[in-house]
Amino acid sequence: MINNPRVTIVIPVYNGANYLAAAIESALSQTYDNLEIIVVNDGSTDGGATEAVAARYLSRVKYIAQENRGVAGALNAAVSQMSGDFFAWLSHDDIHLSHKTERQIAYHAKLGNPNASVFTDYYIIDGTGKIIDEMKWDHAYFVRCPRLSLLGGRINGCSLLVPRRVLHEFGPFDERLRFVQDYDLWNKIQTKYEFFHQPETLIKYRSHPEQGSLREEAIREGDDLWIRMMNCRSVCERAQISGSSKNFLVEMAHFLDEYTVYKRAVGFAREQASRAVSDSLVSVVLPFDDEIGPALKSAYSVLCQTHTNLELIMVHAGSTELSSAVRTMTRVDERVTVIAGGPSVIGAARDRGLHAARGSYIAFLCAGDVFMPHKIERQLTAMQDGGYVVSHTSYHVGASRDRLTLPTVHSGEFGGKVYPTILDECPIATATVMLHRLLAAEGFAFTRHFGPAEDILSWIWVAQRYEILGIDEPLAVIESLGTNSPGNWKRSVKQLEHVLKQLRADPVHVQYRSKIEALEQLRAQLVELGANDRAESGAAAFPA
Amino acid sequence: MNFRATSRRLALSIPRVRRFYAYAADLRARVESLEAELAQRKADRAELGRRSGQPADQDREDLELQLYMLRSDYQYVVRLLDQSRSDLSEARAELETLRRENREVADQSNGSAGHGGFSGKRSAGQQS
Repeated sequence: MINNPRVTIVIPVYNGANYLAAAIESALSQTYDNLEIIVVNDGSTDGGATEAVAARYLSRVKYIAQENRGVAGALNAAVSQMSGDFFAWLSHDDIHLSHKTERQIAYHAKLGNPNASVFTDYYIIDGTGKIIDEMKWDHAYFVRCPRLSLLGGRINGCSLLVPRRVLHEFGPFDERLRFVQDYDLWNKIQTKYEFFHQPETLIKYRSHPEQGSLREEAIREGDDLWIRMMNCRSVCERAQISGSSKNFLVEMAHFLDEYTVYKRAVGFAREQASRAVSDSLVSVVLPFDDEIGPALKSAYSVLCQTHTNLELIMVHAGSTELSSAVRTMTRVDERVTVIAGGPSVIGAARDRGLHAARGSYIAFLCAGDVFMPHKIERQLTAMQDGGYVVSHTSYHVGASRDRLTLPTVHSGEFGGKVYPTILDECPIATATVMLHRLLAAEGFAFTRHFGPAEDILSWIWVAQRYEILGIDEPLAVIESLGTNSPGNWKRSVKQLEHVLKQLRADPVHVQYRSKIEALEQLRAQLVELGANDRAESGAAAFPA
Repeated sequence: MNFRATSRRLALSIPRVRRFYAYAADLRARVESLEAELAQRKADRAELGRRSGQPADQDREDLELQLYMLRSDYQYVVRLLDQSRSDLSEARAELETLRRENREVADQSNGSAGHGGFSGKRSAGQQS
């Protein structure tokens, strides 16, 4: 970081003799000493009135007079000649409070990021300079999601302090734009760097009738800009901001409708929001081995979904040649992809699918389990509406074929902030889970927890970080769950032991002693049950 | 589409993605630890406020600032990571397509060889 960096305050002006002197005086009265002030007269046509005001300060400011190029052209002219390490913009009708530069440089130094830009709160003044309002933003709003500075329309260009190197990397201001050249450039900058809110009121922004932001051309530019700003946000970015694309678009529509005049952008956001569910590509990951029948049954349940915008990724974790039935399916339905997983544990196969997934949402299925026809549509709608990045549902148990009605497990009642409850009570069935791809980017993987209970440990990992949406509607039929045979008790005991080992080894989980003790008791009960069952059937108890 | 270029791109992206994952995990851990610390400080401050009516301390503000910076970095890295994952996945799909095409060409050429197509032999009708 540079010690005592130089700050250039740029004052572009066009026919602005009425307020220019006050603006220049406010720049000259800054308590920060390493300053450069550039006034750009952008081809004023007021008979030399603007020039006459500027002329009074020529010994203390750099003055540029040019043909009219608009605000963007005036700013570009100044930027090309500035010697400062930071750029600050002062409209000819606004005022910088005397400590503005000093406070911003101090705040920037505290941030410790040379590429950070800083913006502040501001007063609104009328034509006479009287304060009529104060725009003081909720700082916690930005700490929660820094991106909201721009998308929430919170950045007042004249409150900014931007490092010159950032301006040079993304500039110049687009001179084809007459009204929104500033937000257009901030939007480009935000693809890489951030605008940080300094919770202090450091400028006075003048609101007066001569401003041109209500002109038809200005509205057209603004509409185009906001549509562009919404469009360039990735699925992940939208989820980071609002939990889902739909929520993001609904919130944007609300903001634009409430606080701006950009009704075309509002219409665009609403229309996109109404299609957010059907536009979402969902990837379903289905690992399968050499036994092809159950896998085909599961695959058909995916391809018959009411939500058709999906891809089925079948991960072949078997050792034999791919069956002709699977090959035919890939030819008949282009939504099916088969990838080779090699003989591997199910978690590794799921991760292969997770990495290959192109969808915004990813669901999992085990060979033999089936989705109800509206499963993806229901779950996706609930996630998009609620802004959740992870969900699971209740399910039917399909093992007992002799019953007309399948028993239901109401696991979907389990939801919300379920950590640490989940440590000794994880009812989540993997074949009912749907994740946003954001989780994969944030490091979610089944193989993070190698071992016999990797899915349980995965859901614990998820619950620690995210709020889980539980949907109490049976949307899958699960056959892959074991029956109550001693062999499966043995497996459960093994899983429990693995979970216990992992929980004891984790410095956070281990703090929840009562949870761990409850699991230990459960393990002891299972061992006892297994022993009784084996004794009744005349066999020796299985070793714990 | 070029097999060599795709392979090289794939080879280059895998370590990049891994590096991003490691960096993202580190940032996430720091964000989480700062969140916990901040929550603790807030609780301490509330307690202190109850006892003495003291205003917010500088320490807490500094901590909040750190959290602000880290969260911004973290969210940026996650977005970059998601982009890298997409690139990697596309490169893998391209590679798979190239492999399949390569196999098909090899199969065809093997098949044709049996009929003299690429064997260099001329059939009777081709004799000049």
